[in-house]
Amino acid sequence: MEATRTITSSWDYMLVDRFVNELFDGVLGSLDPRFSSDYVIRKKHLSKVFRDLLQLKTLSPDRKETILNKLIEALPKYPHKVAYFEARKKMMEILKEELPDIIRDLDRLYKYVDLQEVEQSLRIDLIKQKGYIISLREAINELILAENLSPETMRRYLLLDQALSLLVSLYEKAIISGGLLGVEKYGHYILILLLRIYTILKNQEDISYLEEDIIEIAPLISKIGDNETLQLAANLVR
Amino acid sequence: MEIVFLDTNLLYALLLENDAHHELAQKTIAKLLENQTPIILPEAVYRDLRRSFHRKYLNAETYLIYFYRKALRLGLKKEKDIYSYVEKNFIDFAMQHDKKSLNMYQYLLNYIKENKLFSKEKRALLVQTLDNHVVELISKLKPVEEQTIHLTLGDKELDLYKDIYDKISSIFKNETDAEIFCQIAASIANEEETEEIQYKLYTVDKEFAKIGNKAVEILNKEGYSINLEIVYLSESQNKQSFTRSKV
Repeated sequence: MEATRTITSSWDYMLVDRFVNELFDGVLGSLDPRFSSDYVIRKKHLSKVFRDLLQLKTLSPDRKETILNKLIEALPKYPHKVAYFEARKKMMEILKEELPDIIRDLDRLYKYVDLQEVEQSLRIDLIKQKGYIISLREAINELILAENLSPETMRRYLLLDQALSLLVSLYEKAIISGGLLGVEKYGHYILILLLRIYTILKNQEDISYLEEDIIEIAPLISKIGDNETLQLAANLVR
Repeated sequence: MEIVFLDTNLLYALLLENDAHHELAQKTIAKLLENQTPIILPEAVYRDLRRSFHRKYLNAETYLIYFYRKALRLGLKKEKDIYSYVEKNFIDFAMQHDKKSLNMYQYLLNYIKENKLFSKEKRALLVQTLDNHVVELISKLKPVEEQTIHLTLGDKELDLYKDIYDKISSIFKNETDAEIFCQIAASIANEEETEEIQYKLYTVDKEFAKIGNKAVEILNKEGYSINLEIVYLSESQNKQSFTRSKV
């Protein structure tokens, strides 16, 4: 048991260490799409104008973790879209306190670039984010199949992989909807799942919250219900 | 005017031909449709189905992967050998520890077999395929057609819901019953003009009906205005009409 715990915590540490930059970018991008404007800023040679915003990517991992730890305090305890909206709002307030210079940069962004340019930049970021989530899934897959885990620990990683699978689908939907509209529609769900995954890898929260979020958010990826699946599920749970 | 809500057991009864209440559920719905009574399925009912399904799937999946890894550690390499080992140990485990979920264990085995997930080429993607599959399945556990109205909570109702849930959830026998009741109660309590409308929640669970009516009584004494009656549909007492539960 002790050995399993040691393996798990060292894997969790490694996963957070490896993906903290990407998780941080994903969280910011889903909070506000303007955070994903660095491509257009560089392309238009505005690096000096938006120096603070660009430096966000080079914050130390410790600073990024400190910000993420503040944001997770605003995670909702009840899985519902209204609670997710409220949480996103609270998180933006936290960011304003943590990164005041950067928020000022965001406020003047549209004076220099237009929506379409942000949209293009955002699409590149979303595709990149999706790629990182796929890499994280591969790392978790490796862990499940390579390490000698107890069923209880394995269940935890399977749940994490399911959340990541759902995230990939949400990113796909956001990309298809066209960046800005996609983030408006799916951003708060992506945000909650990313932060929830982070809290579990940091061992700061029980997995039941993630389970409830998956159950609440999953229906978003299908257009309508399916009678055959409803019958199958009813049959298997009775 | 009457508006009728349905609980999870009635959804199951409608979906499953072999359910003990299938005929009763069908007759009930037919009668309501004939009378043009609006029928509402609360989101909490679908949520309950998703949650129950997901828990069972995740549990069975965990042991499936557990025995699969054991098979690999024993040095089994051929798809057929791995499948036989996993099948035997997996089903034995279910029989001993999780007999109620045997159908789910069998379902996963069939899924593995049909998709040849133990084959050498697909093995690396086994976990991801199973995880993608459950996410896809639960994503479809939601309303199918327009025959019934789908009820979800809005901004205002969510606050009411939390308030009602804190006050009353402890008297229900489980979290699911509490969630379904509170979702319906919150949406009714939020309506401004409810006097002309008679809200009813149909159930085939006698205890739920009893506790639910008690909960309405408690909430209304506290100043809420919840014009809701929980109606127990009894097969044996009356095949034609609905029997009201005694509070």
